[in-house]
Amino acid sequence: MTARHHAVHPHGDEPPRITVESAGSAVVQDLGRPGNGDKGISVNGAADRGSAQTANVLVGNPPDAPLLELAGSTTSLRFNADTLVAVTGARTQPLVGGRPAPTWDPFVVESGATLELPTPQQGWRLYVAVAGGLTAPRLLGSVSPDPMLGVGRRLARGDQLDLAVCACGYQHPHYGLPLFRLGARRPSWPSTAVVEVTPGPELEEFDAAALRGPWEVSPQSDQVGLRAEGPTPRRSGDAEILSRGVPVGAVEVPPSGGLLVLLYGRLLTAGYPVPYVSTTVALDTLGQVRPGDSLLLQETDVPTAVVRLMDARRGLAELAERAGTALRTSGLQT
Amino acid sequence: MTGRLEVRPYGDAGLLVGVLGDDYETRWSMTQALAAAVREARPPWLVDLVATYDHLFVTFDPGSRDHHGVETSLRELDDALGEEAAALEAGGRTFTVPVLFGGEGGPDLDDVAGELGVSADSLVERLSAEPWRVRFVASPVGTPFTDRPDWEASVPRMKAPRVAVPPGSIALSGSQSIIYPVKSPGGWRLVGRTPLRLVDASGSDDLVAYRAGDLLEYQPIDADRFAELAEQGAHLGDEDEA
Repeated sequence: MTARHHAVHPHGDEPPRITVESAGSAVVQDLGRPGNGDKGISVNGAADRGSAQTANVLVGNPPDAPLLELAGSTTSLRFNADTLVAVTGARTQPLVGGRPAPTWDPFVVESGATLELPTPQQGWRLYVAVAGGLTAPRLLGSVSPDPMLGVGRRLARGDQLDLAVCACGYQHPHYGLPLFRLGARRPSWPSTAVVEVTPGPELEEFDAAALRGPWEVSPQSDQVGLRAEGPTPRRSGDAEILSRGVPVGAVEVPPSGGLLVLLYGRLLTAGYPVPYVSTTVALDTLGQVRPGDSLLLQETDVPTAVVRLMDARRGLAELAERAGTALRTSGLQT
Repeated sequence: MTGRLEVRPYGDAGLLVGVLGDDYETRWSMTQALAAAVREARPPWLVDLVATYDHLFVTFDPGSRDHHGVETSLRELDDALGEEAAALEAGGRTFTVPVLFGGEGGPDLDDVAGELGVSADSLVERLSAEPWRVRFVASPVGTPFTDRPDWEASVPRMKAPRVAVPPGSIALSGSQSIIYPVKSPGGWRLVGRTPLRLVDASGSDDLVAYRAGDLLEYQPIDADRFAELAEQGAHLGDEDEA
């Protein structure tokens, strides 16, 4: 017997869904809209992709399935059907019906129970994946909020999120306890974040030591860019830089001082010098820094950065395989 | 072929390709031609492409091809380029953009005219005299970055950017002009506003009608015509595709 039924109506005619009791900053998120640079559309999507993808594969979803992203806030969700859930990202202690629930491993929230996600103690963003993913309107293939496109929104108290599937009928004596130990990598988020960067086109125009930091993360940061305050690095060149494409992770030195590190919501072109570019793996760290945290830039080379990225991808693929086996064996996934 | 590419790493999944050439027009047309060739070839490693005045920013999957391999492919595509560059410029379509200059939608018109030492009427006349060439389309969402050979004014930006520029605003900065397609923050100087919508996000058509190489012609209209067109909810490119 499989424990997973489609279109099961657990409470009479009520479809399986989540009711938002306290929204905090929650948005429905995925990996955004890559490949639309020629239209001027930013990538957007989850700020800490490693955590988002891990949450998804822990419940048997594709890594890019829609899930909840919460940033530095307290959120509370009520489930009306038994649901397989995973919480990753920043460090917090989730509670199911008031009892501690795990992070970085899947667990079942019982029908009628409330999942509470307190404000993180370390790191900034939490990811909550539910088996089957969340449904939300898509534009250009993504549910990700984009303020420029005018799509997506923050959830509000009383909102209801339909669940594609439920874990209805799954017999487990300890709701809210971890079902398996799948060994997902659990990053830590110290208040001094070390960000690995590779040399950018204008590195030679700066004194590398002056770029290292520590920089203080400004509260003015948003999904477009992370502002880091500190002494303005002196640029030796003064050639005007015509607007050109800029990568997510570009470390820009604007004339207003400090650094601007571009994140997934970045505009596609800019004309500031770019001495460094964050590695893809380090972007996850940038997605977890809090206002007031310190940033240290640590130079690495491209081949090393690519090796780390491939390691991270392999780790995720292996985790997905372990999770798939565990979920199928236990009847939670067909 | 341009034969002169300056290729530099731009992160662990990107390359910044500078296209060298004798003059601005050559660099731009070669950049756009190379971008078109890459899109046409659809290599499996390609993730995204941003082509601007004289740079191509290529995002790729380093798990599929390494930096050196991507650079080799780009140089091969560049070597194979023929007459596309010239064709790009000659093939530009012209779109008419009705604009209500000055007033509420163009709050900076008088100031900009003053800075350039001309009357507001004369500035409107000059802005509408020749079409503006779309050099590339970028952020936010489908913004056309345009210029034209006979416009060499240097318009300074706002000292403090506006928090919300209304969609359709016609703006100047340096020697360039853009139209803001969506409500967004912005530091360019606003001289007028078009009632036409630029973005069609329905997904059935292209997001915007124009692309690099096309021409935008500003056509002055009065407040009544503005209201009429705004009422119709017309999109840019609905009528004219010259």
